Amino acid sequence: MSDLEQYLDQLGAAHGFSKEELEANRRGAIHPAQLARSQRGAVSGPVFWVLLVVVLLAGGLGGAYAFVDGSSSPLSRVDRNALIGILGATAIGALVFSAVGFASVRRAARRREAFRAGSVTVVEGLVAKGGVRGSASTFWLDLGGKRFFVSQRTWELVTHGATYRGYLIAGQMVTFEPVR
Amino acid sequence: MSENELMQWAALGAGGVVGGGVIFAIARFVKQQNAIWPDAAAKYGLTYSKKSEPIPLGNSRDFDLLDGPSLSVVSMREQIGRTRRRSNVITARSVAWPSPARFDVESTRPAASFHLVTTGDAAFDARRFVTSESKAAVQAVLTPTVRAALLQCPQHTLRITCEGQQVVVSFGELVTDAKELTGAIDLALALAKGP
Repeated sequence: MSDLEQYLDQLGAAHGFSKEELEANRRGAIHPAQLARSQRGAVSGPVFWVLLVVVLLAGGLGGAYAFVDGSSSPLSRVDRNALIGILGATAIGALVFSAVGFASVRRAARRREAFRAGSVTVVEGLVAKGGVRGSASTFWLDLGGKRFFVSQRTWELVTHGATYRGYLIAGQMVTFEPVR
Repeated sequence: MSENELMQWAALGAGGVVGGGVIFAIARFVKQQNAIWPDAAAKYGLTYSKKSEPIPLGNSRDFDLLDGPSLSVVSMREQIGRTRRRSNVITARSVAWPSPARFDVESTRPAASFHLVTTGDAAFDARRFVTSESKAAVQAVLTPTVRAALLQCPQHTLRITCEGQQVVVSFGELVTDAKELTGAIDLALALAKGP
Protein backbone atom coordinates (compact mmCIF):
# COMPACT_ATOMS: atom_id res chain seq x y z
CA MET A 1 0.00 0.00 0.00
CA SER A 2 1.42 3.38 -1.02
CA ASP A 3 1.89 6.29 1.41
CA LEU A 4 -1.01 8.11 -0.25
CA GLU A 5 -3.37 5.13 0.09
CA GLN A 6 -2.41 4.77 3.75
CA TYR A 7 -3.04 8.46 4.31
CA LEU A 8 -6.42 8.29 2.55
CA ASP A 9 -7.35 5.35 4.79
CA GLN A 10 -6.47 7.44 7.86
CA LEU A 11 -8.42 10.46 6.59
CA GLY A 12 -11.40 8.27 5.68
CA ALA A 13 -11.45 6.56 9.09
CA ALA A 14 -11.29 9.91 10.88
CA HIS A 15 -13.71 11.88 8.69
CA GLY A 16 -16.06 9.00 7.89
CA PHE A 17 -15.67 8.11 4.24
CA SER A 18 -14.48 5.13 2.24
CA LYS A 19 -12.18 5.02 -0.78
CA GLU A 20 -15.17 4.03 -2.92
CA GLU A 21 -17.02 7.14 -1.81
CA LEU A 22 -13.98 9.29 -2.57
CA GLU A 23 -13.67 7.67 -5.99
CA ALA A 24 -17.36 8.37 -6.73
CA ASN A 25 -16.96 12.01 -5.65
CA ARG A 26 -13.88 12.39 -7.88
CA ARG A 27 -16.14 11.39 -10.80
CA GLY A 28 -18.69 13.98 -9.65
CA ALA A 29 -21.14 11.35 -8.41
CA ILE A 30 -22.71 10.79 -5.01
CA HIS A 31 -22.04 7.31 -3.61
CA PRO A 32 -25.18 5.41 -2.51
CA ALA A 33 -23.72 5.02 1.00
CA GLN A 34 -23.34 8.80 1.30
CA LEU A 35 -26.94 9.30 0.19
CA ALA A 36 -28.18 6.68 2.67
CA ARG A 37 -26.19 8.29 5.50
CA SER A 38 -27.54 11.73 4.67
CA GLN A 39 -31.16 10.53 4.91
CA ARG A 40 -30.71 9.21 8.47
CA GLY A 41 -32.64 10.94 11.22
CA ALA A 42 -35.79 11.48 9.10
CA VAL A 43 -37.82 9.68 11.78
CA SER A 44 -35.63 9.88 14.92
CA GLY A 45 -35.31 13.68 14.76
CA PRO A 46 -39.05 14.51 14.92
CA VAL A 47 -39.63 11.64 17.40
CA PHE A 48 -36.99 13.08 19.74
CA TRP A 49 -38.60 16.52 19.81
CA VAL A 50 -42.16 15.17 20.15
CA LEU A 51 -41.05 12.97 23.08
CA LEU A 52 -39.30 15.93 24.69
CA VAL A 53 -42.45 18.09 24.51
CA VAL A 54 -44.63 15.19 25.73
CA VAL A 55 -42.32 14.62 28.71
CA LEU A 56 -42.35 18.36 29.47
CA LEU A 57 -46.15 18.51 29.30
CA ALA A 58 -46.52 15.34 31.36
CA GLY A 59 -44.12 16.70 33.98
CA GLY A 60 -45.81 20.12 34.14
CA LEU A 61 -49.41 18.85 34.11
CA GLY A 62 -48.57 15.96 36.46
CA GLY A 63 -46.85 18.40 38.81
CA ALA A 64 -49.87 20.73 38.68
CA TYR A 65 -52.23 17.83 39.41
CA ALA A 66 -50.07 16.68 42.35
CA PHE A 67 -49.96 20.25 43.64
CA VAL A 68 -53.77 20.65 43.51
CA ASP A 69 -54.28 17.18 45.00
CA GLY A 70 -52.01 18.01 47.97
CA SER A 71 -53.52 21.46 48.63
CA SER A 72 -56.53 22.34 50.73
CA SER A 73 -59.83 22.77 48.89
CA PRO A 74 -60.78 25.40 47.87
CA LEU A 75 -57.33 26.65 46.79
CA SER A 76 -55.98 29.64 48.64
CA ARG A 77 -55.02 32.72 46.63
CA VAL A 78 -51.29 31.91 47.01
CA ASP A 79 -51.82 28.30 45.84
CA ARG A 80 -53.89 29.51 42.89
CA ASN A 81 -51.07 31.84 41.83
CA ALA A 82 -48.55 28.99 42.18
CA LEU A 83 -50.78 26.75 40.04
CA ILE A 84 -51.05 29.44 37.38
CA GLY A 85 -47.24 29.75 37.50
CA ILE A 86 -46.75 25.99 37.01
CA LEU A 87 -49.24 25.80 34.12
CA GLY A 88 -47.86 28.98 32.53
CA ALA A 89 -44.26 27.74 32.69
CA THR A 90 -45.34 24.37 31.25
CA ALA A 91 -47.17 26.07 28.37
CA ILE A 92 -44.28 28.44 27.61
CA GLY A 93 -41.71 25.60 27.85
CA ALA A 94 -43.82 23.39 25.55
CA LEU A 95 -44.23 26.21 23.03
CA VAL A 96 -40.51 27.10 23.05
CA PHE A 97 -39.37 23.48 22.68
CA SER A 98 -41.99 22.88 19.97
CA ALA A 99 -40.74 25.91 18.03
CA VAL A 100 -37.07 24.91 18.42
CA GLY A 101 -37.88 21.31 17.50
CA PHE A 102 -39.94 22.34 14.48
CA ALA A 103 -37.15 24.59 13.22
CA SER A 104 -34.54 21.86 13.78
CA VAL A 105 -36.63 19.20 12.00
CA ARG A 106 -37.30 21.55 9.09
CA ARG A 107 -33.62 22.42 8.83
CA ALA A 108 -32.66 18.72 8.82
CA ALA A 109 -35.33 17.98 6.20
CA ARG A 110 -34.04 20.79 3.98
CA ARG A 111 -30.50 19.41 4.37
CA ARG A 112 -31.65 15.91 3.39
CA GLU A 113 -33.52 17.33 0.41
CA ALA A 114 -30.49 19.39 -0.65
CA PHE A 115 -28.35 16.27 -0.41
CA ARG A 116 -30.78 14.25 -2.56
CA ALA A 117 -31.00 16.98 -5.19
CA GLY A 118 -27.40 18.14 -4.86
CA SER A 119 -24.33 17.53 -6.93
CA VAL A 120 -20.67 17.25 -6.01
CA THR A 121 -18.75 20.52 -6.06
CA VAL A 122 -15.01 20.76 -5.61
CA VAL A 123 -12.91 23.18 -3.54
CA GLU A 124 -9.15 23.18 -3.72
CA GLY A 125 -6.36 25.16 -2.14
CA LEU A 126 -4.01 25.57 0.76
CA VAL A 127 -5.51 24.45 4.05
CA ALA A 128 -5.33 26.75 7.06
CA LYS A 129 -5.99 24.95 10.32
CA GLY A 130 -7.66 26.74 13.19
CA GLY A 131 -9.07 25.72 16.50
CA VAL A 132 -10.08 26.60 20.00
CA ARG A 133 -9.04 24.27 22.79
CA GLY A 134 -10.75 24.13 26.16
CA SER A 135 -14.02 22.97 27.62
CA ALA A 136 -15.76 23.44 24.26
CA SER A 137 -13.00 22.55 21.79
CA THR A 138 -13.68 23.38 18.16
CA PHE A 139 -11.47 22.53 15.21
CA TRP A 140 -11.80 23.80 11.67
CA LEU A 141 -10.13 23.79 8.27
CA ASP A 142 -10.27 26.78 5.95
CA LEU A 143 -10.18 25.53 2.39
CA GLY A 144 -11.08 27.32 -0.83
CA GLY A 145 -12.59 30.29 1.01
CA LYS A 146 -14.91 28.09 3.10
CA ARG A 147 -14.68 26.95 6.71
CA PHE A 148 -15.32 23.32 7.59
CA PHE A 149 -15.68 22.16 11.18
CA VAL A 150 -14.09 18.77 11.71
CA SER A 151 -13.32 16.36 14.53
CA GLN A 152 -10.05 16.73 16.41
CA ARG A 153 -8.92 13.39 14.91
CA THR A 154 -9.43 14.65 11.35
CA TRP A 155 -7.84 18.00 12.22
CA GLU A 156 -4.70 16.34 13.56
CA LEU A 157 -4.25 14.36 10.33
CA VAL A 158 -4.33 17.43 8.09
CA THR A 159 -1.15 19.36 7.33
CA HIS A 160 -1.41 23.13 7.67
CA GLY A 161 -0.35 24.93 4.51
CA ALA A 162 -0.63 21.85 2.28
CA THR A 163 -2.90 21.69 -0.76
CA TYR A 164 -6.07 19.65 -0.42
CA ARG A 165 -9.10 19.04 -2.59
CA GLY A 166 -12.47 18.79 -0.88
CA TYR A 167 -15.65 17.33 -2.37
CA LEU A 168 -18.83 19.03 -1.18
CA ILE A 169 -22.43 17.94 -1.28
CA ALA A 170 -25.02 20.45 -0.04
CA GLY A 171 -22.22 22.50 1.51
CA GLN A 172 -20.81 19.61 3.53
CA MET A 173 -17.26 18.43 2.86
CA VAL A 174 -17.99 14.71 2.58
CA THR A 175 -14.60 13.58 1.30
CA PHE A 176 -11.22 15.20 0.81
CA GLU A 177 -7.70 14.33 -0.23
CA PRO A 178 -4.24 15.84 -0.49
CA VAL A 179 -3.35 17.15 -3.92
CA ARG A 180 0.39 16.75 -3.43
CA MET B 1 9.99 29.59 78.10
CA SER B 2 8.12 26.28 78.20
CA GLU B 3 8.62 23.57 75.60
CA ASN B 4 5.10 24.24 74.36
CA GLU B 5 5.80 27.94 73.78
CA LEU B 6 9.05 27.07 72.03
CA MET B 7 7.19 24.76 69.65
CA GLN B 8 4.64 27.48 68.88
CA TRP B 9 7.40 30.02 68.14
CA ALA B 10 9.20 27.46 65.96
CA ALA B 11 5.98 26.72 64.00
CA LEU B 12 5.35 30.46 63.59
CA GLY B 13 8.92 30.98 62.38
CA ALA B 14 8.68 28.09 59.90
CA GLY B 15 5.37 29.47 58.60
CA GLY B 16 6.96 32.91 58.21
CA VAL B 17 9.88 31.45 56.25
CA VAL B 18 7.57 29.48 53.92
CA GLY B 19 5.26 32.49 53.43
CA GLY B 20 8.19 34.78 52.76
CA GLY B 21 9.64 32.25 50.31
CA VAL B 22 6.35 32.05 48.40
CA ILE B 23 6.04 35.86 48.21
CA PHE B 24 9.69 36.11 47.07
CA ALA B 25 9.16 33.43 44.39
CA ILE B 26 6.01 35.16 43.09
CA ALA B 27 7.73 38.57 43.03
CA ARG B 28 10.71 37.06 41.19
CA PHE B 29 8.43 35.34 38.65
CA VAL B 30 6.50 38.57 37.99
CA LYS B 31 9.78 40.49 37.61
CA GLN B 32 11.07 37.86 35.15
CA GLN B 33 7.81 37.99 33.17
CA ASN B 34 7.87 41.77 32.97
CA ALA B 35 11.50 41.71 31.81
CA ILE B 36 11.01 39.22 28.93
CA TRP B 37 9.93 41.78 26.31
CA PRO B 38 12.18 44.75 27.25
CA ASP B 39 15.18 42.37 27.54
CA ALA B 40 14.50 40.90 24.10
CA ALA B 41 14.14 44.42 22.67
CA ALA B 42 17.51 45.38 24.13
CA LYS B 43 19.17 42.16 22.96
CA TYR B 44 18.08 42.50 19.31
CA GLY B 45 18.08 46.33 19.06
CA LEU B 46 14.31 46.57 18.66
CA THR B 47 11.72 49.00 19.99
CA TYR B 48 9.28 47.60 22.54
CA SER B 49 5.71 48.85 22.93
CA LYS B 50 2.42 47.64 24.36
CA LYS B 51 -1.05 48.17 23.00
CA SER B 52 -4.54 47.36 24.26
CA GLU B 53 -7.76 47.26 22.28
CA PRO B 54 -10.89 47.50 24.40
CA ILE B 55 -13.61 45.02 23.53
CA PRO B 56 -17.11 45.51 24.99
CA LEU B 57 -18.44 43.45 27.91
CA GLY B 58 -15.20 43.26 29.84
CA ASN B 59 -13.27 41.45 27.10
CA SER B 60 -9.77 42.46 26.07
CA ARG B 61 -7.14 42.22 23.38
CA ASP B 62 -3.58 43.10 24.40
CA PHE B 63 -0.44 43.27 22.33
CA ASP B 64 3.30 43.20 23.05
CA LEU B 65 5.17 44.56 20.06
CA LEU B 66 8.83 44.54 19.07
CA ASP B 67 9.75 46.53 16.03
CA GLY B 68 12.96 47.00 14.07
CA PRO B 69 14.15 47.69 10.54
CA SER B 70 14.28 44.05 9.46
CA LEU B 71 12.39 42.19 12.19
CA SER B 72 9.10 42.60 14.02
CA VAL B 73 7.24 40.60 16.66
CA VAL B 74 3.53 40.84 17.37
CA SER B 75 2.26 38.96 20.40
CA MET B 76 -1.50 39.02 20.92
CA ARG B 77 -3.54 37.89 23.92
CA GLU B 78 -7.29 37.97 23.52
CA GLN B 79 -10.00 37.07 25.96
CA ILE B 80 -13.59 37.00 24.77
CA GLY B 81 -15.88 35.40 27.32
CA ARG B 82 -14.26 32.14 28.31
CA THR B 83 -12.34 31.86 25.04
CA ARG B 84 -8.68 32.82 25.10
CA ARG B 85 -6.55 33.23 22.00
CA ARG B 86 -2.81 33.66 21.94
CA SER B 87 -0.69 34.26 18.90
CA ASN B 88 2.90 35.27 18.39
CA VAL B 89 4.09 36.22 14.93
CA ILE B 90 7.72 37.00 14.12
CA THR B 91 8.36 38.47 10.69
CA ALA B 92 11.89 38.94 9.36
CA ARG B 93 13.13 40.34 6.07
CA SER B 94 15.09 37.62 4.32
CA VAL B 95 16.84 36.62 1.15
CA ALA B 96 14.53 36.03 -1.81
CA TRP B 97 13.07 32.52 -1.77
CA PRO B 98 13.00 30.78 -5.16
CA SER B 99 9.89 28.83 -4.14
CA PRO B 100 7.70 29.19 -1.07
CA ALA B 101 8.31 26.82 1.82
CA ARG B 102 5.53 26.42 4.39
CA PHE B 103 6.01 23.96 7.18
CA ASP B 104 5.07 23.07 10.74
CA VAL B 105 7.60 21.83 13.28
CA GLU B 106 6.30 19.82 16.22
CA SER B 107 8.01 18.20 19.16
CA THR B 108 5.73 15.13 19.00
CA ARG B 109 5.28 12.77 16.08
CA PRO B 110 2.26 13.85 13.96
CA ALA B 111 -0.77 11.58 13.56
CA ALA B 112 -0.02 11.09 9.84
CA SER B 113 3.37 10.67 8.22
CA PHE B 114 2.28 11.47 4.65
CA HIS B 115 3.66 15.02 4.73
CA LEU B 116 6.51 14.24 7.13
CA VAL B 117 9.82 15.70 5.95
CA THR B 118 13.04 14.07 7.08
CA THR B 119 16.33 15.91 6.99
CA GLY B 120 18.77 13.01 7.19
CA ASP B 121 20.01 14.35 10.52
CA ALA B 122 18.96 11.48 12.80
CA ALA B 123 19.40 13.49 16.02
CA PHE B 124 17.15 16.26 14.68
CA ASP B 125 14.58 13.96 13.08
CA ALA B 126 14.15 12.13 16.39
CA ARG B 127 13.39 15.32 18.30
CA ARG B 128 11.53 17.52 15.84
CA PHE B 129 8.87 16.51 13.29
CA VAL B 130 8.54 18.66 10.20
CA THR B 131 5.45 18.46 8.00
CA SER B 132 5.02 20.09 4.61
CA GLU B 133 3.88 19.28 1.10
CA SER B 134 6.92 20.95 -0.47
CA LYS B 135 9.50 18.50 0.86
CA ALA B 136 12.42 19.51 -1.35
CA ALA B 137 11.99 23.22 -0.64
CA VAL B 138 11.76 22.59 3.10
CA GLN B 139 14.76 20.28 3.11
CA ALA B 140 16.77 23.07 1.48
CA VAL B 141 15.62 25.51 4.16
CA LEU B 142 16.53 23.23 7.04
CA THR B 143 20.27 23.94 7.09
CA PRO B 144 22.37 22.84 10.10
CA THR B 145 22.10 26.39 11.52
CA VAL B 146 18.31 26.36 11.19
CA ARG B 147 18.07 22.87 12.69
CA ALA B 148 20.21 23.96 15.65
CA ALA B 149 17.98 27.03 16.11
CA LEU B 150 14.87 24.84 15.95
CA LEU B 151 16.23 22.55 18.66
CA GLN B 152 16.63 25.58 20.92
CA CYS B 153 12.93 26.46 20.59
CA PRO B 154 10.90 24.94 23.43
CA GLN B 155 7.50 25.40 21.73
CA HIS B 156 5.40 22.34 20.96
CA THR B 157 4.41 23.65 17.53
CA LEU B 158 6.03 26.27 15.33
CA ARG B 159 4.52 27.37 12.02
CA ILE B 160 7.00 28.68 9.46
CA THR B 161 6.56 30.34 6.09
CA CYS B 162 9.44 31.38 3.84
CA GLU B 163 7.99 33.26 0.90
CA GLY B 164 8.93 36.24 -1.25
CA GLN B 165 11.56 38.09 0.74
CA GLN B 166 10.36 37.33 4.21
CA VAL B 167 10.24 34.67 6.88
CA VAL B 168 7.31 34.30 9.26
CA VAL B 169 7.61 32.19 12.41
CA SER B 170 4.48 31.83 14.53
CA PHE B 171 3.29 29.93 17.56
CA GLY B 172 0.26 29.96 19.77
CA GLU B 173 1.35 29.70 23.37
CA LEU B 174 1.64 32.56 25.82
CA VAL B 175 5.29 33.58 26.22
CA THR B 176 6.19 32.77 29.84
CA ASP B 177 9.88 32.04 29.36
CA ALA B 178 12.46 34.28 27.67
CA LYS B 179 13.76 31.24 25.73
CA GLU B 180 10.42 30.91 23.91
CA LEU B 181 10.78 34.42 22.54
CA THR B 182 14.53 34.57 21.94
CA GLY B 183 14.56 31.02 20.53
CA ALA B 184 11.89 31.92 17.96
CA ILE B 185 13.62 35.23 17.07
CA ASP B 186 16.97 33.43 16.64
CA LEU B 187 15.18 30.91 14.43
CA ALA B 188 13.67 33.68 12.26
CA LEU B 189 17.11 35.31 11.93
CA ALA B 190 18.73 31.97 11.02
CA LEU B 191 16.04 31.34 8.40
CA ALA B 192 16.37 34.88 7.02
CA LYS B 193 19.96 34.18 5.95
CA GLY B 194 18.64 31.60 3.48
CA PRO B 195 20.00 28.20 2.53
